[in-house]
Amino acid sequence: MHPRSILLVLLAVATCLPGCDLPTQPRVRALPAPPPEQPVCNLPAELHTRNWLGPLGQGSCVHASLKNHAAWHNDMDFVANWPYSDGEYATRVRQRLDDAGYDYAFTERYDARFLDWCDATGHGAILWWKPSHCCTFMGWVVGDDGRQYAAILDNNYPGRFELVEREQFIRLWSGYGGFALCLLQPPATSIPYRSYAIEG
Amino acid sequence: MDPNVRFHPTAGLVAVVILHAVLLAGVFAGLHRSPTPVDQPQIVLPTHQPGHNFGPSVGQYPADRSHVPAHPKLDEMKQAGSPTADELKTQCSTGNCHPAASMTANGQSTASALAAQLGARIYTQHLADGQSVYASLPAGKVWAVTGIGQTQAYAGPNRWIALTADMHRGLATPHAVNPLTPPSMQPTLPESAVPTIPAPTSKPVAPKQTGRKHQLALFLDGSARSLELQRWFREDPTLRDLSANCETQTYTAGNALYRARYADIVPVSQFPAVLLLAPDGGHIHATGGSMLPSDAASLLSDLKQAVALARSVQSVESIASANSGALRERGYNWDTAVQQQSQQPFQISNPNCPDGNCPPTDSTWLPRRPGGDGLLPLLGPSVDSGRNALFWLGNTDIILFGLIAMAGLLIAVIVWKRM
Repeated sequence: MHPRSILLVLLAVATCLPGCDLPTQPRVRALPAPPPEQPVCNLPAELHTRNWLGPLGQGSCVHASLKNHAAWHNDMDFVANWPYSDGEYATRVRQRLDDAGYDYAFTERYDARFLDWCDATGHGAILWWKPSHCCTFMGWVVGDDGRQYAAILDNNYPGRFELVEREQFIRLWSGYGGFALCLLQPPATSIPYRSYAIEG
Repeated sequence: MDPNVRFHPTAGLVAVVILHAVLLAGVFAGLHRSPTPVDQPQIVLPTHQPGHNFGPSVGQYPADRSHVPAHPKLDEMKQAGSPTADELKTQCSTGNCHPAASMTANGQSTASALAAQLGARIYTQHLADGQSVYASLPAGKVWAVTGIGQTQAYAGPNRWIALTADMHRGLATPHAVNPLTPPSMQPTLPESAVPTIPAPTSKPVAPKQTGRKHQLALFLDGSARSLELQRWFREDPTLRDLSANCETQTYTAGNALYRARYADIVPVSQFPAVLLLAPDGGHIHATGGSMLPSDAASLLSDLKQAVALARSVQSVESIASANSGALRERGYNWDTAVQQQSQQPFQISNPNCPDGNCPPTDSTWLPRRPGGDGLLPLLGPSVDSGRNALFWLGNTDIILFGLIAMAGLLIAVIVWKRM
């Protein structure tokens, strides 16, 4: 076959074939993001653990706070089976967490950056708050006036979050010892929202 | 070769060469795969509508705090007894573990208006020790202000459907994506729904940036498919690493968190389900029920594709900045770590301070959390590169390569004939 004929055949084939199986590219559109959940550790009320009296006749606020904190981390085994009650102090609660194999971070110097980190990472924390009491820090809340407020879950009053302006909160927290502790486990999953849509 | 030989390219040869070049460019740029059948979608994620508050509005409490009595000064509180970190914390030593402190609904007009708007009651409480009064709102519900005076807890219908429909449409189409429109601006409440508040007296708070990682949620029942899904995440190396590098949670139908937060979004009928989210909760991939792939490799491929789609509309910075880690050790002491950080010697080789007078060390240093750097090293960077078209041959590609081979052969024959 003449080379030119071959070339003509190839040209004809090449002309006919392109266009088949060509991909149609999807068009992706971003969808608006909703305002962030406030507070970031928005533990449902039905999961709040109320304070209780232990065998020694002491309140178990630290353990109740830990259970609320663990519930936010979806550690229902902790909530159900944490064996301790009665009063607690910082070194012993840390020792007990060590014995149980839990990773945690803590501060004893009322370092606000620690709470900022706990908020940014969605962990929250337990902390000394109110006289001889322990509560759960659920995150910072931004009010309409633009200020930050600490959202506190007091295990004596489950079912609500108490709000305290940030600067005042830090001052008072320092007076209560400035201790805070957070478990280093994945926190609960965020409420998902549809972030993009495919069109075409 | 004879130096007197002259090459005279014919018009046909030139046309074929040009055509092949154009088609090669099209092959390298275009990636496609055969569409896969799409089952009836059954999972819909909630879509935020501008002009409506989507999430909870716990922060909406009265700006007018004239009803709040002045709190004791710090010094007075300290004189009343200075607790230390090691003081026994009980607050029930008197047996008052279930105090019935008086709580009354706030009667202030501003508070009432806001309370009515939010459908909540704002409680004020005078603590026994005379401390500050706190405004508070009920916890746990997701509040959505849908209009003036209209507030309802967010409890939408099954929202899984539209999302997975989009996901599978995306999976059925080529990797290359073109963003349609830029992301919308942050929506705001209608002006008439915003209560009048005094001008802020304190410094405005900077927008909060989330420090969360990407999130992986598995919704499981006791079915064989659930067990298989768990096995994929245990045995497949990439899925296992993905699980380790994300904030991974597992939910069952009986889980209280699931019932309270996700039951309306991921119904039990869709179990087992997989949800991959950005650090702020934006969906990346959602699949479940009959749309769950049949093997781990397909699931991984779907996840990679979904990451590509999501990244096409997300900034790289928002993904890359969502990772900070913590030292994986027990008893991690923030105070000690910060102190050590501040005591680190300056680096003479620091390009920012060649004269040795370095700026202070970064005071925003954060502890590192367990796990790796998140999603991108596993699923991100390799997705955009797509496939190497030289080594991937579809039907059209085979024909084109055949044409290229034959053209090359013909050119070789022509050159040989001329010699």
